[in-house]
Amino acid sequence: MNLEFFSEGLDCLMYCGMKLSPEQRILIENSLIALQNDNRFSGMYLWGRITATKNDYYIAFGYTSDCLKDRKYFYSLDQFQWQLLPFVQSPKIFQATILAREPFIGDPSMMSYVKLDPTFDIVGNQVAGISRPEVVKLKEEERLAAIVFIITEECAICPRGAFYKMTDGRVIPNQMFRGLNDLQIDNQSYYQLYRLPRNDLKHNLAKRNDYNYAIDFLDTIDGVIPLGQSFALNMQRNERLVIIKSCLWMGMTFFHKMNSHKHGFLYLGDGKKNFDLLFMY
Amino acid sequence: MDKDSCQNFSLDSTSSSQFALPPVCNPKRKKPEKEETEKSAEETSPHCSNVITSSSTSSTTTISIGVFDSQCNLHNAPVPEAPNIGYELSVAKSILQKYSTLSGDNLFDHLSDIIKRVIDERPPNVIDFFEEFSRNVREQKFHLPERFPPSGVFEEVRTFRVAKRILQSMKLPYIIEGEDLLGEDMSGEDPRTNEELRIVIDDSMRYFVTFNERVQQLQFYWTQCGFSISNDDIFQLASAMNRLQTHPSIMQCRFWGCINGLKASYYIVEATLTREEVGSRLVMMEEEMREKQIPFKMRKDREDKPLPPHIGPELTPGIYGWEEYPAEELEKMRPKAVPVPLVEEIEFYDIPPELVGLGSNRYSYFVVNSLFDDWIELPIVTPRQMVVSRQIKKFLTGDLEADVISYPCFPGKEKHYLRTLIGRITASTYIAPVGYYRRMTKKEKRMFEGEEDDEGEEEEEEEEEEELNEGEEEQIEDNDVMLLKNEKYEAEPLGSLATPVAWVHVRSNILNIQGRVVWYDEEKARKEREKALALYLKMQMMAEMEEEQEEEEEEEEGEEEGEEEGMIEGFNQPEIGPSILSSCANDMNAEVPVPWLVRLTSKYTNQKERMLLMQSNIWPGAFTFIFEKTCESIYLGWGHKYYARNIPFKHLPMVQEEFPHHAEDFIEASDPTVEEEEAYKAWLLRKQQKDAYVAEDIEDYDDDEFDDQYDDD
Repeated sequence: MNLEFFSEGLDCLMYCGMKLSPEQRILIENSLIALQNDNRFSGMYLWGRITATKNDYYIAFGYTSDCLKDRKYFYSLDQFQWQLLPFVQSPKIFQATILAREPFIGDPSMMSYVKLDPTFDIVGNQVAGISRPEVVKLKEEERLAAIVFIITEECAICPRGAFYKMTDGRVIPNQMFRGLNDLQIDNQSYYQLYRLPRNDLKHNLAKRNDYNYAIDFLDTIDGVIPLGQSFALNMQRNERLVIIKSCLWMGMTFFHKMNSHKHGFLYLGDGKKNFDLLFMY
Repeated sequence: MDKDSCQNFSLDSTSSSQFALPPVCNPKRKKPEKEETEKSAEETSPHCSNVITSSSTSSTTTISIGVFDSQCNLHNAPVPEAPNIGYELSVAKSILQKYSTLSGDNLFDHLSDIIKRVIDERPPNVIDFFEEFSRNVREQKFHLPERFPPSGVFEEVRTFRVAKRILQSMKLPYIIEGEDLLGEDMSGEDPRTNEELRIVIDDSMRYFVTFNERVQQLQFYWTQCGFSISNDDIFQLASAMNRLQTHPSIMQCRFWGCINGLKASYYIVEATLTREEVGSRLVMMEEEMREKQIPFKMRKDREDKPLPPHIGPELTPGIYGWEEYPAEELEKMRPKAVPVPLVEEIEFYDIPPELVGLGSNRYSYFVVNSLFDDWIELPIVTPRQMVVSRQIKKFLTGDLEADVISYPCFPGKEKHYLRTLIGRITASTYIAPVGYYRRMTKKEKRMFEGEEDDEGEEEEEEEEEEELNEGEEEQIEDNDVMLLKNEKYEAEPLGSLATPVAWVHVRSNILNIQGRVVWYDEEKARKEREKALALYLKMQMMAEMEEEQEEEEEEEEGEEEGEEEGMIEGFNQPEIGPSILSSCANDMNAEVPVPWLVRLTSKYTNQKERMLLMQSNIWPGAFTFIFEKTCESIYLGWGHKYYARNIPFKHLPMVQEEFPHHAEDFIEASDPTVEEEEAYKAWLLRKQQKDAYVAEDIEDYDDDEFDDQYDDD
């Protein structure tokens, strides 16, 4: 959620039931402003909180020129000292993060061991061999980085038109964005995933009649699998505010005010994926 | 005409006429003053430009283009010498002003609009979004407020519908013309007097209020703790609760929390009903339950048996040619066939739900989707629902009547499911520091339960019965009690409270297997049923023998004695769960290593006024806060229990479990080949010929043929 309208955004996100206590709000807002200043970010966002048993992790990110590619993530345990989250590349770490059963502890240097699922070699519809489940050593800091990346990829949302792709390929917030109007606001195809697009550009453009190269390059949330079940869209506050909650990552909430450029997402949860989703409708 | 438009300069910007002229007619001055351009326009503008302006204001497209072109060509004749900037500019301009055959727009107008907008509005970094900006400008051109939408049509604003409903729900005293002022006064007073009356009635119960019912006051604490419902909604919630509170059958209510649904979320209020209401409900409920516990045969005898379906002689094998019988005889004939199998009903007795006002049904819950709607009461919870609810995990949709599609099948609609969730969450997440609550003394209990002086005798009897029942149950476990606030509780320092050891559960536990607060002796109930059935059969026999009534009474007495004996004999071990006021440190869950999270609202600053927050990990979203002597619990979440990875759903049973089959039921055999079939046919023919030769009875022959066939196979 953007730092520019921090408390207003928090108020809007309260429809998920949770928000920050006054002390947390003041600490986070001001320390993030300081962080933005130190790193010369052109945009600074609070990403959310991951509940841990001892201390909660607070996550923030900022960017300098491209708000999709060069985001830098930070985490903090005490809400005012921010550390850079490591960049995780190893697919093993991601697998282990998804499979980890234990909740987060709140100690970034903590090591845990996660048993991956056994892999099966399949030759012509027959199981040819089973490899023993691999045990991966997982540092909590890396797990945190991985889970933040996964959650952002899967359910961070922005309204259509909020981001603009310039001719040199950079993506920046659209200064001309004036919000969705009352015909568009409750339509899931007007919301996009805040990540580097995975679909083909042609595919994304072909979904719309009124496509715009500079805006429709992102994937929309109505195509997220399971179709129609991944997000719950509600209208609040005299139907002037839209709240979208992710059903896959419980705790991810997105808000957008009708006819205004204000929008944002915040994750307040325990970093657990809802694996039961398909049985819950 | 030009002059006019120039004077309107600041008002009307979309027409090209004001901008169009100056550079053309006065090319030497780069930035001419406004007034000067007016003059120069009048003096030096060529005829051509006049034509242009007139055509640009008109809306016709193709014709005017033709006119424009031809007229410009006409004026080409008196061309000045070759390097003439004025002339070239006017040519360039005419190119820009060429009308689009599609939209009737021209680039010149558009560019001037954009430039005007940029200078007026000064948007930041406009060059980066120039395409977007230009599109915006064009879009808005067609959305002139005076032209669109047409003034005759006014579309209802989206928010209007909601606004109207909110206003309606508040029941504001509108002044309606023609109504007597006196009458209004009366109506205004009525609710007030009602309220006073209600308070008088409830005064005895005020003593038992153990919670804070003022939501707005609580909202302050919630906000400090970092969770709450929205600030806008809290006033509406307070007024909605006020509406509920003033209902005659509700004694007191408190805000329970909020459960999110997919389409709408539920606001939930926990309410205690008045004694009269509970009494009248008890009468109905006990009757119903007695009805359900009656042994099956007795129930069945009372019901009208459905007439057996008519089985005509056409279904009786062995009798051919029945058509030849006369109709009267057919009526009398009994079918020889095996009777058509009817669905066999199996005796099945659910564990009865707890009575209204007791156990898991001690409180009733009212829910609402949007705070300006009317409150809807949730039904009572049955043990079966409770048990099934523990095996499933579903999203609530926000529609109380929605089906819960699950395996194992949930017995009820979404409202029942919601009610079980509320019950489960309440039972496991309502906590308070040790010593904050206390059990009632006997005197208080009597006051709470037995104060039934001015009520009818029937109800009194029921109360007594209840007490008796409870007395029996209390010997087993005294879990089902209301707690009272301990007046002697001293606020402890938060440091000593920051561990689950210092906290206890304050709502009764719901048993794991039975789904009730108070254990129900199924074995005993079964024996009672058997006895009742035996008695019933005996009575039937006697009625047939037409015995006297006195003996029956004797029998009944005898039965009662027997009952007690039976109870002593068949006393089986009750299910035991953690009792009320058991420590939170004992909370165990295989899925959750740390069941409670302890957080302070303010870590570093404001040491004096900070609060302690207990967050349940088992039910994420359940909070309990304590500040000095205020301790309240609330739930704000999805209504899902925590699972480390995924919920162990019950698997479907094997296919066709009800018909067990073995390997010998399915014997594989290969189909006969063509040769084999041929051989069989030849054999059959030969046999027929032989039979014909023997010349036996034809009917017999048929049978024989079939028999043989089977034998051979």
